[in-house]
Amino acid sequence: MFGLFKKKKKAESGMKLRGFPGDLSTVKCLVMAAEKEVKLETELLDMQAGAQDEAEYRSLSPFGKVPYLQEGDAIAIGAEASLAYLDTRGKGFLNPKKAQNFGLMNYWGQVAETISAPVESLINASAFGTAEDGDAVERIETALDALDAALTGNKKLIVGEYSYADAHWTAVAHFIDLAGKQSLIDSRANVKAWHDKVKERPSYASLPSLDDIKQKQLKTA
Amino acid sequence: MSDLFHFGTAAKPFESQTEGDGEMSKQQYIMQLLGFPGDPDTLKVMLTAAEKGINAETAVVDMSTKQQDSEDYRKISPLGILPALKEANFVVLGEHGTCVFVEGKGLGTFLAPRNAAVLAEQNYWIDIGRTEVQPHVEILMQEIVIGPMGDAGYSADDAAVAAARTALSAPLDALNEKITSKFIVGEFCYVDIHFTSYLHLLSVIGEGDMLDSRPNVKSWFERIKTHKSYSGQDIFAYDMLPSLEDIKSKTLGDVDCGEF
Repeated sequence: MFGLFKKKKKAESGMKLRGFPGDLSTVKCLVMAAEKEVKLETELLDMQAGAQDEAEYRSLSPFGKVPYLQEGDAIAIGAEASLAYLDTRGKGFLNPKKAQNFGLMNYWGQVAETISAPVESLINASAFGTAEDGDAVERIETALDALDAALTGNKKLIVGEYSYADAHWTAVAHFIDLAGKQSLIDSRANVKAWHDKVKERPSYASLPSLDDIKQKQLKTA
Repeated sequence: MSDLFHFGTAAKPFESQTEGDGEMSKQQYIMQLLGFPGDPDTLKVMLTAAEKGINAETAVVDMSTKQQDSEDYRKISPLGILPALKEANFVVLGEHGTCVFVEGKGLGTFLAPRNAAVLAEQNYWIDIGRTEVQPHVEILMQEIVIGPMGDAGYSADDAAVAAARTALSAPLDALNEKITSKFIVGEFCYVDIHFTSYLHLLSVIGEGDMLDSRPNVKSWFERIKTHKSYSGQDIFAYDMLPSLEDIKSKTLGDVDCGEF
């Protein structure tokens, strides 16, 4: 926090991520790894088949949290832990140094988390034909309205500099896009401008396509 | 419409508007916290402030009458997320944002571990707390305390209460197994603040046997109660947490770290 982590000069090799391309937490970690220029080996955890609830995975992650990140003896389980761990590796830090921006970043990360379930319901409906949550679009729209209002004033990134908040929302916006609901973003001018901006970043290429999700393919980052 | 932050020092005229010398006093920059005494996230921010030596004046957003959904509060927090904290003209919302903002303004050792592996371990347990503990603490709080506050004829959902108690067993057992040193991940950090909030609320609403039946959790909780503030002030953050009577009377004490 606030640039205090002792970090290594070069990105570590041998970092392995176990996750699923249709899981927001996994995709947030792919964004983070790409932003930090950290090489990740990946291994599929077939969440669509319920692998996160099987005994083998529960022996590693007792509450079924995904993804599972391992580097040597160090492990990080779940997005909260894995994102923070990844941020101590590779290039720079994604935590803002200014307390106000740090607070705003975490708030927008929290808001993104509140819509994880409806966003995943949309992507699962598109990729696997499962039923969409009835109020999914409404809940997403409420959060997008708040983000759109906060981005007023020509801010291209959520707290002015690229941060965890952008990694969270990049994954969210990408899934909305893949689920065929791009209009939810395009109809909100400030969110659209932000989305256009993050799409220009090299990290966007690390995100799975709808075909990747359907075929359960997790790219190496 | 009224301004919910118009209370305490902020509601007083500046000295320059009265008979002062025109200098802005330190008190005029005091932090203001809007929250609820039965809300775990509000308590996390109070604990963080007390650990970091930050004084904060507080006012209640009455969750028993769903004031978090009122027009006045939604003007501050469009999604109704609690708590809200204001310093001068800056407002930050939610526990995730508010705690780190307070920490950034505060004194003493940083609350996040510096070692990457320990940081990841801390965040994992914070995540477990938020998803496996907090929702069930909130159900118990709602059914046992808040529901009857807002409606004298409120009838607790016994099935929901039983389910919440059952659901808390696994994460509290795991926590009991995890605690093998003084604090949850070894050093005192954010995760101790999170679980202090949950376990304090369980304790005051009559669910203390969940702690007492788990020896490592129980001894950790005793250590927390006497953990001296990181700010160097002679205070214990735990002492600032609300009692059951405070919750029922909708009273939220200020965070008072004393004179520096």
